[in-house]
Amino acid sequence: MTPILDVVDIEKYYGNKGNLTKAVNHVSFQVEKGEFIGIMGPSGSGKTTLLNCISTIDSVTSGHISINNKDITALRKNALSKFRREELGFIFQDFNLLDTLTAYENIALALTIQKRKPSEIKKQVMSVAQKLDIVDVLQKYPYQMSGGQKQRVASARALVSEPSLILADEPTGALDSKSSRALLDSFERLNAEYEATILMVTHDAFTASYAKRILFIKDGRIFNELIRGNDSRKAFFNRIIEVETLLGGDSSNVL
Amino acid sequence: MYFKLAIQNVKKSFKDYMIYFLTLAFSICLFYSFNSFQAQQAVMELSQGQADIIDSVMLIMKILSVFVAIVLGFLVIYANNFLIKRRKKELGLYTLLGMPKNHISRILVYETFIVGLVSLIVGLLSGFFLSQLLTVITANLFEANLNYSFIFSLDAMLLTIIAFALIFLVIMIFNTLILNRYKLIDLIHAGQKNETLKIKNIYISILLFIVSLLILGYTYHYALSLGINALVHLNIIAPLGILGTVLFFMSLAGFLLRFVQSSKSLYYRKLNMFVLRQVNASINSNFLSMSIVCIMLLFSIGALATGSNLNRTINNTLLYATPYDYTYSAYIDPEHPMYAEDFTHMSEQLKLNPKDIKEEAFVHEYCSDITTKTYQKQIEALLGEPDSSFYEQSIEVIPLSEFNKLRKQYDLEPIRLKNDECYFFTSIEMLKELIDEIIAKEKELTLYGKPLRISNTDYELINLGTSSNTGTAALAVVVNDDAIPKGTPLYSVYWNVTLADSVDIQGFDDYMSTKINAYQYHQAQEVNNQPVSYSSVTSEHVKENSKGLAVIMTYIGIYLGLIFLMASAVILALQQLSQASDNKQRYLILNKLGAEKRMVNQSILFQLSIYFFMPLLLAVVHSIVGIQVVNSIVVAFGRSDLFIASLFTGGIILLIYGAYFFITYIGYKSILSKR
Ligand SMILES: Nc1ncnc2c1ncn2[C@@H]1O[C@H](COP(=O)(O)OP(=O)(O)O)[C@@H](O)[C@H]1O
Ligand SMILES: [Mg+2]
Repeated sequence: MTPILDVVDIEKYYGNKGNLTKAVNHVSFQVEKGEFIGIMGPSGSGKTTLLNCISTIDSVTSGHISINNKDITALRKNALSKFRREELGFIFQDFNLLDTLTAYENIALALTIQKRKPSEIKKQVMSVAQKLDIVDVLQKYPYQMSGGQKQRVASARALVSEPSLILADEPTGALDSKSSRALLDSFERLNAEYEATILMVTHDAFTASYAKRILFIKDGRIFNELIRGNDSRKAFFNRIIEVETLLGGDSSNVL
Repeated sequence: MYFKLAIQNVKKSFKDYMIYFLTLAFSICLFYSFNSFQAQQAVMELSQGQADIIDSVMLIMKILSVFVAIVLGFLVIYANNFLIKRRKKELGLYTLLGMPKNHISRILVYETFIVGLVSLIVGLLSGFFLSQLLTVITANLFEANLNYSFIFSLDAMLLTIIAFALIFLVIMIFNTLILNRYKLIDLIHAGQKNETLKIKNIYISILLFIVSLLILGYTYHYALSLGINALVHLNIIAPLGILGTVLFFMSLAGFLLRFVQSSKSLYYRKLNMFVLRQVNASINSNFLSMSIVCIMLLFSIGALATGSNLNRTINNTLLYATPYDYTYSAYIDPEHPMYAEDFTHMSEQLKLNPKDIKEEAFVHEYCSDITTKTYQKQIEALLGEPDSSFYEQSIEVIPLSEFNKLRKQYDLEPIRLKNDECYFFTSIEMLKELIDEIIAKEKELTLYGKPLRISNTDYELINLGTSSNTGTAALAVVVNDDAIPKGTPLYSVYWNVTLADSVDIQGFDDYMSTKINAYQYHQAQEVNNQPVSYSSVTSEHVKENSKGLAVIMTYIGIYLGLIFLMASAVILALQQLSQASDNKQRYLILNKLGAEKRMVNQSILFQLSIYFFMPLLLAVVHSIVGIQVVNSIVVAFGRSDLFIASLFTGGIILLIYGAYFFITYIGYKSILSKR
C-alpha cells in the first residue's frame, strides 16, 4: 500500500546567506492511510514550518512531498489551491473561523469553495456536525461560542469535504484542559471509526499522547520516533515524557 | 504630559492619521478656494453687467458654503471615526492600565487639535494655490482680461478657520461621546469581534425596507406632482427623502441577505455567502455614511446635469430673446391708464436721428375685460395655487398686424384670423403646458363682449421684443386689429428698434439712457403726473447677461458637483480601504481553505461593487426625479437639452467615481496581499 503522505528529504530555509535559519532540515517520513500521527517538539523547532510545507501554504527549499502519489512541490499556484481544498483539511491553533458567518456557514464554506451542490452541502454539514456533536451551535456566530466549540466547528470544517489528510497545528493550544480532552476524544473517534488520517503538530505531551505514533523534532530535524502499539494512553504519555527528558535540555519549552 | 503623549501618538500612528489628515487638508483647501471666489474679481476686468452678476452669485456662494461646510464636516467626522476605530485597541489598553476616561478623551482632544492645526495650515497653503488656478479658469470662462497678481482673501480664510474650528469642536465632543459609549471589553476585543447587526430581527429589516420604499415612492410622487413648486416645499420633501434613503440603507443589507438566502443555490454558491455576510456586516456599521454618499451623489448629479445643461440652454435661448437691437418696454399701471397714442411719436420726441434707425415697430398689448381667473381651473390643476394677485392680471390682447410684423422678424409666416377668431399663445416656456391645455379644452373665449373662436392648436414661442426676462407675454390673445375697441387702455407697450449698420449699439444705449429720463418726465407732465415704469435693453446687453449667468451657473454647478462627487468617492474609498485591513484575516482564511485567487478577487469586486454602486443606483433614481423637477426650472430659462447634459454628467461620474472604484479595488487587493 502506498502511503498517503510521503515526505522525502525536505529542507526549508529562511533568510539570506548571512543569516540563514534552517527551519526544516532534511526531514523524511511517511504517513499511511488511517494513521493518527503526532509531531512533537519545543517551540521554534520547525513544526509549523513543516506543516505549512505539507499543507502547500509554504513552499520547500528542496526535497519532495507527495500526497496521494501527487508531488505537490511541483504544482502551480492555482493547482495548489485546488489540491488544498480537495485533498486537505486544516485545523489551526486560533481556529480561523470567519466571524461574519455562523457555524453552519463556516462549515459549508469549505464546500462552496469546491463548488459543490447546495443539496449536497446541507447533508454533509449535518452529518459532520453530528460526528463532532455541534448540532446545537450550528446557528451561532463564533463570538457566541466557547473555545472548545469553536475548535470543533473548525474541525468540522476541516472534515466536511472528506479530505485525504487532516492537518492540525496545535489544535489544543488555545483550549482549556477540559475542551482539549473533548476535542482530542473526537479526533480519536474520527480516526478509529471513520479512518480519518490525522497529522497533528503539538508541543504538549498530553495532546501528543492521543496519537498512535509520534515523531520528535528538534532544530528542524527528526530525532526520535515513538509508536504507541498496545499501550494505554497513560503509559504512552509516560514514554513521551521520558523521551523528552532524555533529549530535553530545554524542558521549560515543553510545558 | 498628555500633550506630549498626544504628539507621540500622532507621530506613531502617522500612517493611520495620513488618510484623516489628507481628507482634512483637502476639505480645507476646497473650502478656502471656493470662498475666495469673491477675491477673484479684483484681478479681472469685468463689465458692469458681469460684475452685477458676480455680486448676486457671491450671495448664492455664501449660502452654498454653509451647506458645503456641513457636508465637509460630515466627511471629516467620518474620517475621524475611521481613525478611532483603528485605534480602539490602544484606547482599551489605556483604560486597562487604569487611566480615567476623561484623561483619555483629553489625549484625543489634543490629538485632534494637533492634526487639525497642521492640516489647517497645509490646507490653507494649498488653498492659496488652488485659488490662483481657479482665478485663471474663471477669467477664461468669462472671457475677461486678467491683470494677474497673487490673490488672497482674508474673508475666505477667516470663514474657513471658523467653519473648521466648529467642525473640530463637534469632533472633540463626538470622540468623547464615542469613548463613553464603548465598554472596555469592546475596546479590547476590537478587531476580533465584528460589529453585531444593528437590526437583529429580519422581519423588522424587511418591514423597514418596504417602509423605506413606500416613503421614497410617496416622496417622488409628491415632488413630481408639485413640479416647479417642489422647491418651495423642500422642507417636506428633503426630510422625507433623507428618511427614506437612510431607512433604505439601514435595511438593505438585511433584506438583501435574506433575499439571497431564500435561494439556496445562489446563497451557497462559491463565495456568495461570504460576500453577502461581509457586505451585511459593513453596511450595518456604515449605513449612515452610505446614505450620506447617496445624497451627496444626488446633489452632485443634479448640480452637474443642471450646470452643464444651463450653459447650452441659455445659448439656445439667446436667439429667441433678442429679435431687435433695442427694445423699450413700458408696463402701464391700471390705476393710471395710458393709450397707444401716448407712445406713437417716441423717436421724434426722443429727437433721434432718423438715419440711425433702420426699422422701428411697436407691439401694443391691450388690457381686456377678462382676467387669468377665467382659466383658474387649468391653472390650479397644472401650476398649483398661485398668489391671489395673479388672478387680477388681465389677459393680454395683441393686434394681428403688429403680431405678424413681429413674426416676420423671427422669419415666421404671418398668421390669418377671421373676424370671429383669435390666436392664443404665450412667450413663457414654463406656461406652455398650461396654454396647450387651454387650447385643447377651451373652444371659445368672450372678449370685449364678443365670442371668439380659438383658431390655433399650436404656436411658436416668441418674445414681444428683446428682453432679458424669461418671457414677455404670459397669457396672450391675438385678434384682428379692429376687434380691439377704440380707447382701450394699454397693458404694456414694446418699442422695438433695429439700428442702422453704422450705429454702435452700446453708444445708442448710452444716448438713450440720458434721453429717456427726460422723455419720461415730459410724458408724466403731459399725461397723468405718473412716471411710467419702463425698462430698456439692447440685444448686446441681453447676450452679455445671459452669457455671464450661464457661465457662472455652470461654474457653480460643476464646481459643487465635483466637490460632492469627490467627497462621495473619498468616503467610499476610505471606508473600503479601512475595512480591507480589517478583512485581511478573513481573506487569509479563505486562502488557507484553498479558495482560488480568481474567486477571491471576484468576491472583492462583487463586494466593492455593491458598496460603490448601491448608493449610486439610488442616487440616479433620486436624480431622475430631481432633474425632472429641476428641469422645469431650467425650462424657465428656455429650452433644455437633457440628453447631452446626461451624457456629460454620466461621463464625469464614470470618470471620477470609476477611477476611485478602480483605485480602491487595486488598493484593497494590495492590502490583502501584504503579509
Ligand atoms: N516566515 C519566517 N521567516 C523567517 N523565519 C521564520 C519564519 N517562520 C518561521 N521562522 C523560523 O523558523 C523556525 C521554526 O519556526 P516554527 O516552524 O514556527 O516553529 P514551531 O512551530 O515549532 O514553534 C524558528 O526559528 C522561526 O524563527
Ligand atoms: Mg508553531
